[in-house]
Amino acid sequence: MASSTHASASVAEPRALDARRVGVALFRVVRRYPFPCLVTLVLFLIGAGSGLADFVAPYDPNAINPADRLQGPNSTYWMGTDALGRDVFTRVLYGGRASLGVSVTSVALGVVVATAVGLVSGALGGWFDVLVQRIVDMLMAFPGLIIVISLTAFFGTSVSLLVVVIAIALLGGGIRISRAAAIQVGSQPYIEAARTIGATTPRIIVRHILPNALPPIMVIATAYLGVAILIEASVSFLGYGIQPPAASWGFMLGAEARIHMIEQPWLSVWPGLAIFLTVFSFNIIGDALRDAFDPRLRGAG
Amino acid sequence: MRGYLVRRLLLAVLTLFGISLIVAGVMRTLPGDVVDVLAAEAFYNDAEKERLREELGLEAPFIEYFGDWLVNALQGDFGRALRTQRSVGDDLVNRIDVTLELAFLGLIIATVISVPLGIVAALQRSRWPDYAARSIAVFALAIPGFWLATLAIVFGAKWFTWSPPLGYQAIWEAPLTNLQQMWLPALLFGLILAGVQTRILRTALLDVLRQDYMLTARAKGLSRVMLLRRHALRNSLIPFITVIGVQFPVVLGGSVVFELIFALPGVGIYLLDGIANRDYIVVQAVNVWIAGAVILTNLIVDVSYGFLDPRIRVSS
Amino acid sequence: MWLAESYERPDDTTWLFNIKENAVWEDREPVNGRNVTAEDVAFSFEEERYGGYPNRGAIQPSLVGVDAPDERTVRFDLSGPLAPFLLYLGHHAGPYVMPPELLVDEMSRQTMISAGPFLLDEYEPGSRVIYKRNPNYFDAPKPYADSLVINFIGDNSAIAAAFLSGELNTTWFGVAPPIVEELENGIPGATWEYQPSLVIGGVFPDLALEPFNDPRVRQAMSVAIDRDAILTVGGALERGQWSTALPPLAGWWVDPKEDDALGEFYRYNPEKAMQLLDAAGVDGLDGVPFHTTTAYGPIFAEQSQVVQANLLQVGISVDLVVNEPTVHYSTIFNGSNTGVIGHTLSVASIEPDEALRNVFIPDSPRSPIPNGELMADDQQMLDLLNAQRTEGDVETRKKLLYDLQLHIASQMYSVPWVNPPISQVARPELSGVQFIQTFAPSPSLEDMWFNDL
Repeated sequence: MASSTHASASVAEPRALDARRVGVALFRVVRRYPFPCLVTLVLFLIGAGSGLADFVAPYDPNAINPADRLQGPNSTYWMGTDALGRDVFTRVLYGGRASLGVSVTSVALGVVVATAVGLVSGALGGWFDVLVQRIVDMLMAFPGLIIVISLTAFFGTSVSLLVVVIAIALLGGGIRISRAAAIQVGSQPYIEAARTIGATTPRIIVRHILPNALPPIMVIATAYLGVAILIEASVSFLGYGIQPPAASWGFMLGAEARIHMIEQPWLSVWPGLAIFLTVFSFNIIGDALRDAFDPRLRGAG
Repeated sequence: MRGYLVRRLLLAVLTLFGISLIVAGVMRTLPGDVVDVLAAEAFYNDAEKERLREELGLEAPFIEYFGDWLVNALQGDFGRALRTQRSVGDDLVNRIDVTLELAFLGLIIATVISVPLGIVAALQRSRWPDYAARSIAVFALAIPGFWLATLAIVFGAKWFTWSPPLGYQAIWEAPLTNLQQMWLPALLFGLILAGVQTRILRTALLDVLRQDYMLTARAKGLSRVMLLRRHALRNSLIPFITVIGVQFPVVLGGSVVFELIFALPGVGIYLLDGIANRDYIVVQAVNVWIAGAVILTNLIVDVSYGFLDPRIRVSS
Repeated sequence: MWLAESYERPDDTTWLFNIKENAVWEDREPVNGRNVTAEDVAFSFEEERYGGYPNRGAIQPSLVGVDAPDERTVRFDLSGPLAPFLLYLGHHAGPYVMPPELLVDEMSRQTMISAGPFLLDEYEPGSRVIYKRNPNYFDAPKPYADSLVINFIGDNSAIAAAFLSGELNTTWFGVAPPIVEELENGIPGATWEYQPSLVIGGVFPDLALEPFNDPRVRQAMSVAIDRDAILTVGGALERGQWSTALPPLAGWWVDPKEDDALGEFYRYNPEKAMQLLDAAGVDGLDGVPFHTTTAYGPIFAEQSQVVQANLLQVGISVDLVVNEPTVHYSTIFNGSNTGVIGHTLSVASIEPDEALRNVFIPDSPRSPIPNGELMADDQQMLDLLNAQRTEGDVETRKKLLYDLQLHIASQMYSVPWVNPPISQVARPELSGVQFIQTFAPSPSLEDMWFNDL
């Protein structure tokens, strides 16, 4: 078999051995978790296509061509064209860049702030914890979409504002999870031990609680990526998110496209499919991550 | 129990107060002068603008403005909509039934779907029915509601030349028309909500099945079905009630797009109109109402939780 | 206008109208079915005059007084001859006649009192309005329909779907022309009609904003815009027309596609645009705020994306800002948003005098052109504007209006685009659908009836 010749070559070239080991490990992972791996591949393709839209996309996303308007999928325009004759496939790629960009940034912002606040609150306790809990109560009382449209509509539709507002919508749940993790980790005997030998609270939070609380936070962050994409899409769909002529998945299903959907129903299909596939992938990966981090919960959710 | 109730109630009131304060504060810091926007549209002259400013309390300091608003709100007066001059409280009462009906129908359909799925998934854990049920759940979780509604409208008209009857009728006025209007949005809404519910129910059942007394019951020779009926379902009722609490804000937020696409005159549309009209009296009231509804639901959930599981009462 | 049985004009500045005897208000508080009197009409004009509603102020500059010599006669005194007076009375330039009782306690905000073909029956906020037939309407046997239900539908695909499925009998606005064509194929016997919209969509630049204060730059913008592309995007290439300073339907309008002198300023010609920009010393522009709105439906934002792409071809890069209706009306629409170029509709009219005055008289309360003081110095334009307003002879007035269109095109104070056709569609069960031209084409609801199918 080919592997034996490789094995002999690997003595001379350790790098090849590493690559092979990685390959084998990867193969094992793929065989063990075929579905999450497939989904990761899909997500990778969507992400790469969107991120490299400048190089991958067949057309200019904003170039209009009224003569070719409202076509169904064909060999020239793989997903057809919109009312201005713009290539829908190209706009789905660029839309992905906008949607993913906003979601990833807002989740990063939201989760970092939520983790910081939640861990400190859980570790410190006392009045600060009470205050944080009351704020979380308030945040959790607003549906995410409602906060976001109320704020973006009144304060103007800019991408940076959208990111901040979606991050705020995610804060409540994020703080709750990280606080719970901090409390759970904080009650472990080794934290008590660290305290008795005089470790300061900041040190305990950074050195001990944070690393141990990271797995559940990673899981929630992955789930939040899906949530953020859905919020961004809904807000852009309502016209308060990413503004034309820039493409975003939500906007492509919004008012402008809706005048033409009965005439060209394909317009209603592609952007929704892109949102669905992306959110679906994030959720599957989130589940797989949870299984990996916490075997006790395997399959529990 | 009484102490627990009082404590929860006080917290709820405190939270609602804080929310009102924040919402009013945010509305106050709105960029641009709301009066100018209004005046331009209604062709008000300067004197009328001045009167409007007075009326809106924009001249008064924030504390005074908020105090007035709070006192009026406690008496059920949420002010008059800037655009229509109608009472916001009355408008909300007239519209809340649409949103609540959509929410309840959606939750019922979600429950009808998720209970069998959840049970099958838990009982057949790590076998193909489990994977199938979980896949369906994740699938439903990932569908944007407005997309599903769009597809239904577009392809309903294209393929079946069908669309829901127009002109919303309340269920107590014209039950048949109401159901003709509501079944589709409620069904689609329910499908999406079923995703979360299936997942939570499955987890809850698994937790219960893992308990020691269940092993004992198995050892006594009770069949799986008996086991499920006697012990597991009743015990997983608690987390299931919590789901409804967790879902409620999601439901209220999600109903906005269903109301828009299916032309249902609910609170969500009221909020969208209020936003489009820069009618911050409306936006303020709707936000406080929605937050209030969520807090109330959580309160009810917590209290029933306390009734169902004595341990919780004691520990808190 | 229909309220009057007859009129006479004793001299150039006096008009007398006789009100129909059988015109009565509906039988409700506070009027309880009393007659519509000359006093009501006079009151409504005076209220309009002092209440400051510039939306319908076309008559006001020429109006000296309105009074009621007796219960059925209304008398108007004008400061000078006014060619479009009769027309102004009959459309939105005139006030809505309302009984004085309604002003007490701001009742006019809460109550709707009608003497017209339909009476308000039920209003369900956010959902629909239901009108019922007025049995005492003065033009009996109209209206033919027993009731009229107007549904509010926020979603455009839902409107088209409701029409396809028969939930709606007719729609105007809301359904784009291409869908209408599709529907015609889909529903045998459905009727449809187009009329060019009376309003002019266009770019209204801040005339004090560099470099848009240079007429060459404004001309360059005009020939950089591919008007047929805008019409194509609206699915209306065959039926839509290009606007000048006047909308096509006015009858005084000259088609720039036919007339070479006028066409020079409107025909798509990017090379010429570049030359004009060169001559004005403009070598590319970046980040000019370009405001548009969804106030007239999403198609408006779509059109401005075509213009954005057109302007980019000649090196003018604009940042599109889509405003909600409220923001739009309080900024671009009344010309108070300086420092940007805005896309809006000018309040147009079947009457050229009103259409032009609304836009090109700088102190017009509704002119969408910011910093229009420049126009006040354009004596040639002002002279032509006054001359046509008082000219009674149709052919002479036409000539004056042609000169005016040409002159305004050369100055290009605003850059008009197109007049997209507005479609009126009706399912086969509905007959008698006809447009009346007021602010925009809308169907005359009293003339519709249902067929027995």
